[in-house]
Amino acid sequence: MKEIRTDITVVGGGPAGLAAAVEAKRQGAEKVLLIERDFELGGVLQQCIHDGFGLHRFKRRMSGAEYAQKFIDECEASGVEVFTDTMVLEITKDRELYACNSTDGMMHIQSGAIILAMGCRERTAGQILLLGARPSGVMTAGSVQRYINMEGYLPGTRAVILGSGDIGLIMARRMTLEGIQVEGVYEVMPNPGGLTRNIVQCLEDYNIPLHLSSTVSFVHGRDTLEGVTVAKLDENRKVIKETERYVPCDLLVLAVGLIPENELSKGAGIELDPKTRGPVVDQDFMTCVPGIFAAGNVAAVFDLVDYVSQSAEIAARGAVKFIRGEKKADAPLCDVKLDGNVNFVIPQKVEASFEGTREFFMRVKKPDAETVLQCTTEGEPCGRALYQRVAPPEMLACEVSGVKNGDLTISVAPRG
Amino acid sequence: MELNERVEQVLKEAFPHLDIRAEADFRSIVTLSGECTSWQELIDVGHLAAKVDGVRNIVSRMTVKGLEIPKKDYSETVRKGREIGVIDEADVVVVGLGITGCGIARELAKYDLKIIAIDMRDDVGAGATKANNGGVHMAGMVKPGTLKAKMSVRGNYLYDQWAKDLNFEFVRLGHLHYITDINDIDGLVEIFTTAVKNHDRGPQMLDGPQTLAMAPGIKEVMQDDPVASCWTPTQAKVHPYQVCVALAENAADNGVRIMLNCELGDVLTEDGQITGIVTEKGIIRTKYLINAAGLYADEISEMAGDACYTLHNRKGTIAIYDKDKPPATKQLAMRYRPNLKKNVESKGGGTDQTPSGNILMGPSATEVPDKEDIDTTQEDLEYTLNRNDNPAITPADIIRIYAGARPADFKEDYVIGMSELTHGLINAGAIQSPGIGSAPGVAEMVEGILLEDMKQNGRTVVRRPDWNPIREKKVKFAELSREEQAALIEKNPAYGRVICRCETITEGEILDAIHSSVVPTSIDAIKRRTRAGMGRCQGGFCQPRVLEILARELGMDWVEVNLKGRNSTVLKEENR
Amino acid sequence: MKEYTCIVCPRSCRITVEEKDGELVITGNTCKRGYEFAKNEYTDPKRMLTTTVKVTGGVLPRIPVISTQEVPKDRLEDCLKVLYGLELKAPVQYGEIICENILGTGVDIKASRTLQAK
Repeated sequence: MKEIRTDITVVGGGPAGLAAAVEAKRQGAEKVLLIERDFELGGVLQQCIHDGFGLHRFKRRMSGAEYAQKFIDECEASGVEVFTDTMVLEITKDRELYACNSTDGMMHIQSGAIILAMGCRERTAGQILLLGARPSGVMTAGSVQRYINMEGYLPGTRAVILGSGDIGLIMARRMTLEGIQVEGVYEVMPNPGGLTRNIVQCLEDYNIPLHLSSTVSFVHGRDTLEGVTVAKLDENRKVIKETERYVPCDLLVLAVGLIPENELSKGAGIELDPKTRGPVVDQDFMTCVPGIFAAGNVAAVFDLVDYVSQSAEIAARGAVKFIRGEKKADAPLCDVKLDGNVNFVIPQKVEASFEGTREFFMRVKKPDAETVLQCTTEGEPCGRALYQRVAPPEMLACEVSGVKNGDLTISVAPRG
Repeated sequence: MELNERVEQVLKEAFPHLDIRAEADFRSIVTLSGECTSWQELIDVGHLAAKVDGVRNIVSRMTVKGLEIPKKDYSETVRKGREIGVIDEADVVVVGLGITGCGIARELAKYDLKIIAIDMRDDVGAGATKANNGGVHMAGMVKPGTLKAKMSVRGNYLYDQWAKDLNFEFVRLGHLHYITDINDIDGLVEIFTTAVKNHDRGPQMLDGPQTLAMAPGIKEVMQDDPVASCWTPTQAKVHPYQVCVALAENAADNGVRIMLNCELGDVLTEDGQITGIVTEKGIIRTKYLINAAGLYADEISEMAGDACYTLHNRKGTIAIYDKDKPPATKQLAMRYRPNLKKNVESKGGGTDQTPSGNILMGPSATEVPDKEDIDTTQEDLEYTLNRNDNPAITPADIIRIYAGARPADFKEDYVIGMSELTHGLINAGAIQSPGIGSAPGVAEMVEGILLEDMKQNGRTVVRRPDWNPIREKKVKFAELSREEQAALIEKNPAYGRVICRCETITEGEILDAIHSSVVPTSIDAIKRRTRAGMGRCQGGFCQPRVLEILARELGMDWVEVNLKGRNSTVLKEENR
Repeated sequence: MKEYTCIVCPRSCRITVEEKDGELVITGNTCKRGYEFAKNEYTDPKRMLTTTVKVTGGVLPRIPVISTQEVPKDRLEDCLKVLYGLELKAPVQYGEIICENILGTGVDIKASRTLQAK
């Protein structure tokens, strides 16, 4: 078994891992190791060939692959050590990792700090209790995207999409451009899950209907998909039988949500937040296990890659402070308190002695207009942002500074 | 009164609105005809008729008003087969490579016989075998005196040897049926006495404290206060498809010719003697046909000139939970539910578990007219989920739902034996629950019937000196220590490339599965052998890689690789 | 009359554009940017173009490409046809121009990543 020692090990070479590794180097960490299970860096961005990435960070419209390329180039230039085609099998609470690949065999890696950047996975047919048969042709949107955009193959000729999150919408357009006929997008909720921009440019541009409060109620086809039954849902999200309709198709694309990949985190004894399904972290994105940090979608599913990079850089700065002994392993923590229309916030905790400026990310419970995001500490304002509209699919980000004694309350409420 | 009249009378009393006619042959096989008003009613009529004293089994020619009962059309298969003509000759042909057929083929491979084993699907164990709860059952729930009971107990006993020789996962975890209300004690006593009557090994009645001492999770996790339980230590668990593959590989290693994607279309007979079969791959000459064709065994028996039972699909829906939520107890602990036992042929299963440590819920039990119907429905799923005894799990923990088929006849017992009408036809039909556990018993019984018949017909059969009962243990990377894993990768780097991240399955294991004596050609066939794609992401990440490996190793184009069965390609064409 | 959903900000205004006596009448917008958006959508709608192009000898069989600017919406399909007809040889560098001034639109198509040779 190969023995390796590093200052910082980053698990996952997607947008979070890349940003974390580059930032750790920039902050002066000496030996930074980045481990990726795919054959190349970039993670899911490599299959995101559409534009719309990097608007915040680079102030221009880039494709996902371009956004990744920027970081990959920086990563190579900055001397980060990279292991691709390598799987991390286990992480211990003492910051040891076991990883393996075909060329180096089994590796035992001891790290000053670890940054978790495993990203997320998609919810599947089983998890949404999709009824009917289980033929070929039922696939998650990410799988379809990989097959089409990276492997160069089309998994169907006539598609139905379940779920109107951004991935579903993007795939509706992408499949149309590749000659797959998209019959429609069905969304269980009464509101679309994705950004208006994507509704307009991915559906309306191509006359693809969006059916709200609707679902796929049955899958037909023994070996290969022949069609689906679609139906309207009542206010209790039960199928209205009379509205059932058969749609012939050979591809059902499931864009029904993402789940942070935290199996390695659980193995290390890291506490997870049932709301975000990611680790509970402090203002530096450090988990409850000292020296193990979480960045990007492993911590919570972000809507914008720009935020993913930002969270990873905060985590990297925290990790560098940790290995230098500038960040305590056992600092007392306080919960960030939520008020009003806030569903969750990340980071969930702050050190009682926290000083300086940090970014906080949150999602709201319900859509609202003319709102104010207000951060307060001991009754004094410490961060504020105004929004014309807020909605659960769109994350809010706010810079917070001057928190006293770990007392931080974040609220989103109507203005005035 | 004649048997057929008695049957008609019983049916008239119970179903006065129906006009069902019964005919009985010299063996007391009763054939029913007439129209029912629903599929379930047809099933009820058949079951009731089968219970009439003296009835050996039921053949149904009944119809259902307004329902076209799906019927398999064999004409294309027969046409193809006849066009090709005779392709081979065998001493014995086994039709159906589920666990029963594979078990039989494997046992018969001991002898100097030429054996051909065929299946209509693209893999072994891809029918009823692949989708059930994998129970090698204790004998407390099976009716004493039936062939089912005998096979179940014998099979259960023989499983240790099978597991040892064939190296499949086998966990003898024992079954604890417990009650929380002492008024339900009769139910437990019945399980206990049934187990004793069936000569099950070591059943015991336990009191509350004894129960909790054995399985503290009943209180700690399931939050139940058991007052008594029946402990049946013989209950075991397997992955049924894994057993099936192991049997098939061992059979093939010992010279059995296995033909997949090979549907049987007709059986050839002369003067009441089997002479061959017509398959889509051609005609095979044989004097012995062992019929282990699952849900289609009745049709094959009829093709051979002996319509002696009718099979119906009793569908069962199962839910598999994320390993993240482990079973509450080491044993299979289930709360006995008295209300579920009344007036049903099968109550289905409850909170169960797999040898890999996933909680498994179900199966349910619903009669459906289509033998290929394994769709999950809202009603069945609700039934299954309502069987949950473990408050620590919720539907959000489910990673997969699916349904499987049970090939049930109306007598609700196995049909095993040499046909009285067509010599050479040996039925091993109507093998439903506890069919997985019964498989070694059924194989042994069929082996005995065949050898005895061959002996009587002057054919001396000798054991092959080179027969090897051992099927080597396959590498299971995830179960090895880090040091063992390190050593393994050093020896073969393919074990260093993890393909399925959820179950930690390496490329080396997938290659082992592909380069075996029964070649898997679909993604699901790889899944059943290696568990790649069986985890929480359900192949979301590893499917393209498994597909790539299959295409590479088998020389296929990507668009030719099937998910499951024929004509189920994952990809349709290249990009524009 | 045409109706558009404004995508300039999350407010998602429904904006209508009507032509009256050769003049554009734009209503429903709540800001200047919305006005411009609707006007452009009506007179000269443009979109970014992203797709993949065939590559031989690379670590992957396709490379993602992106337009350097927006392309007139009604030219998208024709542009795609041009791109689907191309076949590149790995390696391809990020930013490499795959197709200059595609169909005379004045827009270049560039590789949106680096693709190494196998």
